[in-house]
Amino acid sequence: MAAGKIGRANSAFFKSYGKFGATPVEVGIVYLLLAASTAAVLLPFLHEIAKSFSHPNDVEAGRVLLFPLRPTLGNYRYFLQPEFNALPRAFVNNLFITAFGTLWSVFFTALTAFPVSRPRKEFPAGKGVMALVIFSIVFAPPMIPYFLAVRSYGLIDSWWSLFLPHTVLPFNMTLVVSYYRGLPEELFEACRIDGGGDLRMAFNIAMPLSKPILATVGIYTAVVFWNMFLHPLLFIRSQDLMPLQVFVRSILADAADMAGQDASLNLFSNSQSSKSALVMLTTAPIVLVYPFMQRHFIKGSLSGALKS
Amino acid sequence: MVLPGVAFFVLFKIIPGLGSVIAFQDFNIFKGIFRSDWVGLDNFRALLSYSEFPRIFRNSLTIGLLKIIFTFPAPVILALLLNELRPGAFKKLSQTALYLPHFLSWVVVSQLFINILSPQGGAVNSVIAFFGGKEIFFMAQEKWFRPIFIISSVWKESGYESIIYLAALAAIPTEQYESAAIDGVGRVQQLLHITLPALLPTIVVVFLLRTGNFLEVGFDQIWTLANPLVWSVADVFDTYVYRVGVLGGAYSMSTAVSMFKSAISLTFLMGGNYVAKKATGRGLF
Amino acid sequence: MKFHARKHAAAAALVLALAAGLWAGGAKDAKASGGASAGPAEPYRFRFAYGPWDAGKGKVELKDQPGNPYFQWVEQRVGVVPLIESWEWQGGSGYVQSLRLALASGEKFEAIRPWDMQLTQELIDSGIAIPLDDLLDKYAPTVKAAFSKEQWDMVRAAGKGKIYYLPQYGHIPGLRAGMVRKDWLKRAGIAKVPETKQEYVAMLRAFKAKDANGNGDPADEIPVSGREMLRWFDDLFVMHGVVMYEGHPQWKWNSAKGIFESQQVSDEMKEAIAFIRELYAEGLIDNVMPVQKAADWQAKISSDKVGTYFHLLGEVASYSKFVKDKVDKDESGLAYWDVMPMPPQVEGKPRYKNVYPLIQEPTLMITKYAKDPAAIMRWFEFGSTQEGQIFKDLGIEGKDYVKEGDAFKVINRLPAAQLRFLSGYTAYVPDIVRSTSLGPAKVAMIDKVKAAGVQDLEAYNLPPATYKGFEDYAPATAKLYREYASKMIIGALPMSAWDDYVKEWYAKGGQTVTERATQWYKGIKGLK
Repeated sequence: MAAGKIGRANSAFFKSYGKFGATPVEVGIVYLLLAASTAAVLLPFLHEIAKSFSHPNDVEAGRVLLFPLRPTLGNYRYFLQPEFNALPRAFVNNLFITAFGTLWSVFFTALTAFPVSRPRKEFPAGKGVMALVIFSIVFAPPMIPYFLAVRSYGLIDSWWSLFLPHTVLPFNMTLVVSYYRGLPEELFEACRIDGGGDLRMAFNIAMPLSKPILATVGIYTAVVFWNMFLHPLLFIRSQDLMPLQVFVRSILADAADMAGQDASLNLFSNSQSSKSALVMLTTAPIVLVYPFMQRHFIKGSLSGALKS
Repeated sequence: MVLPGVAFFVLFKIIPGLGSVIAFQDFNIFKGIFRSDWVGLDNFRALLSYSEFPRIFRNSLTIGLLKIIFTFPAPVILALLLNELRPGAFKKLSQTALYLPHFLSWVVVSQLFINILSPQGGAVNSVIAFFGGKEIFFMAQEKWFRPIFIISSVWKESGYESIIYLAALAAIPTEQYESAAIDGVGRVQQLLHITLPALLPTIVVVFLLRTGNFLEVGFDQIWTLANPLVWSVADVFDTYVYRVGVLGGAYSMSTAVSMFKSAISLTFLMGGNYVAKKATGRGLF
Repeated sequence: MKFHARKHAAAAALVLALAAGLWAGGAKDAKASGGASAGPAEPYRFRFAYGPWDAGKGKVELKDQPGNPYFQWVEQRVGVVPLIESWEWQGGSGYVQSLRLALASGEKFEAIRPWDMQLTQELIDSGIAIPLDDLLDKYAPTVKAAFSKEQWDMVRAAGKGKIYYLPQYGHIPGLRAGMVRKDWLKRAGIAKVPETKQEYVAMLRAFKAKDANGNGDPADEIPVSGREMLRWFDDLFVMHGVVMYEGHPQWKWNSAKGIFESQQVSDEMKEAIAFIRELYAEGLIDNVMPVQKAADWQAKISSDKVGTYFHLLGEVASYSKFVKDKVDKDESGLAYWDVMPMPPQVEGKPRYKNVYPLIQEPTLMITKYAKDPAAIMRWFEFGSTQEGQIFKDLGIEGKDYVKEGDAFKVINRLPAAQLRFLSGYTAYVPDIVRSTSLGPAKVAMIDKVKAAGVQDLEAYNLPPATYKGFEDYAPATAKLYREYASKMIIGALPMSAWDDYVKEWYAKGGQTVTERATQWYKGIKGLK
């Protein structure tokens, strides 16, 4: 019985598809479910992509399904018009804000999480800080006091009004705290014995071992910054500093019901196809973050540390 | 070390949070917090005596619970399935594809679902007609709203939310699986005895965090997905606040509703934390 | 790993430096030099919370720009220029929200465009806005003459007998009417645009039965369409006597009952709903209408699928993209449509006109912080004259346009609105509209609708306090109405449910709201 199972585990077929001890049926089911899920997710996306490369009239008539009809780059080129000349700058702004904001937030989130994750005797305030975190998840400050506070800190019309309020994202911090708590205590003891202090434990032990969680938190944070809308709307006043999503929402929002003074017959203006193109343009960068980060989801990163 | 983080919390959460007192005022932007009239519990009384309060309360609660029950397990299952694959093209494609919907706004996603379910040539009804059935006007019927709401939530968010579980799964040492396989333990058994226990802390933490804002049912989603024909099951606290605020400047009321929701969520969170600690020995605090 | 860390650290340092630099240098001074000392020779520049700021189309910001020719032109011509502060428009709500936050922060504007009645009322009550009666009489004759005494009384009602805001004039090209496809009529064998209800229904039936759009498929026509929340098929309501505006039921004086009656529960509304219900049952009105979003509705019209729709005259061209695929195309799109200046007539009833508010959003309020209120009024007055209108729409003569006889010829199409300033409209200048690319056809349509006339929307300026505590009864919300009426239209509820609905409407707060509205109306009209 056992030999039969070992035989299966060793056969070449399963070495390339399934994991240890997986039967063919199990692997098949996994593939089936995942293929169905992936299709369910990809089909609508392919539809959006097809729309963005199609002739506006075909899109609006509902004729476009998965393949572009009367392919054209016009939907994308539409945004190169002088009317939209604020867009490229906003795009670049978004890149900077996301890059810096992510590093800033992940760093401080991880930094704050470490002491909180330590046992009571080492850091008695841990429970208190955790209570702060939970509190801020459940209770959100109302808009006017929040606005007045940020304003009184002198952050209006500065990117710091986007970074500082997101220094520690409570959701992310909770995840990191939980992860740190799961790290084997022996490592920290060993570090202590070696004469290491808190900082050493945090930077040399905890963080290097936390690549998967930090990568996760990194992705989640990057998405938060990329999609940020409310904070820029309220706090950024100069066109030059404005990030992307505020503009995108305005363009995507229904421009109908306006007394268009000179509404000329531009095919691409206010069309569903160009809106799809805009969605593609503004989503592409952030979508690429995950594949880029996937290499940090390395299996068994912990086991190596234990052995040493 | 923890000082910058604490400073952040104090500056951006606690201090503005004190402004929640406007829930007990008739706040006027020209009088400011210190000179606006105090009305005590009037805003809360207005909320509770609102003619549709039972309905929005029931809907918020129901949708919140349904969301947790159905949208919580989906990312876990997805992560487990993905974990079964060896690294390769299909795995990479799947992982990337599955988290894409998160980046579409609800305006786009709701439109997608409305179109697919349309009785005028939508995909689902085309299939139904093909098999000889009668077309169903899904979006116009109350009984279909919650299922559509849940399905669209699962579709949009599962992939993205599965990332945290994939990270946790990545931390499980492979030797455990190797030795189990050598011992002849099947994959399903491995799942039950190695994977799930290792994943439990993450599951508990994420679950508790979700209960912490389980009444945040997603205004954008409801607003774009619902229409008057289904308001009886779709009307929630957030849509109520939006309506009241439509006339502008209803800061006190929206703060009061927000507080009310938070109090309920907090109760659920504390309860959940207690249960989690009893059952698994781990909680948020 | 170390290399990556260093790379990341370097990137972080770079971005940090950039961000810090932007913060230090880039923090734009929001408190623009509003009260720049207006010496005798210097033009007066006042701080005006006005601007919309829209997506890539640029911020409307006329900060001190002495080098800007438009800025100069206004300075020379009028001696006073606004320094405009703008916020993201987001359909108006973004603007109002940001304006409120600015006011809550204690910002001192000299003039404000409140746009929202609630905010207007708060500005009046707080004493920040100043009365404008004298200034209006002395410096703004064009504006004064733009509205009747009755309309000014309505404005005075908000300010305890004084005028505190100048409203926007009902802008003629913003008129709404039903539009019908001329070529569909021809293919369906119908001689003219319908004028009675019978003709209208006959037209819808013909559209449905024949291949009216000429594409070979007799089954894809949608005779008439609309949007969710029962919006934008106003003509089907107005023809029964309902005061309906953009799909939001308004108020009408009911002398028999002696109340200012909400159209959400009036007898006319019941008739209208019953009629639409019949159309729905017969498949003459778009069957997904109750859940249809604006974008889809627009797409259908633009795809040659809809025979008649109701919307702004000015938007016709954007809903006519199908012309690009027609063989013998008329680029303007207007050749394909004809207008129904008034909704069709129901037998036994008068022929009702389309509804349109002749005074609209509050457009100017002057605050107690204004250093020279008279100058501000003079500026607003200028913008309301024909000369100011022409400047606003066409720009500077010789540079952007030339006059050839009576007609305007555009040389240089103006860039985004950021270089001009806007103010309340008074006159409709047909020649300006004619000079635009769709001009003559549009003017023809406008003339038809103008000739037919509109019904003034009396309740447009009902004070928001009317709905306090019962926000669900405001026309824009009208929750109970939309739920019940939608269900009756699609057949989920019988028409006999109407009376119970009306009872429920009054019981849950409608009674109080009606009393408040009636009191306001009586006060305005001087009734007892």
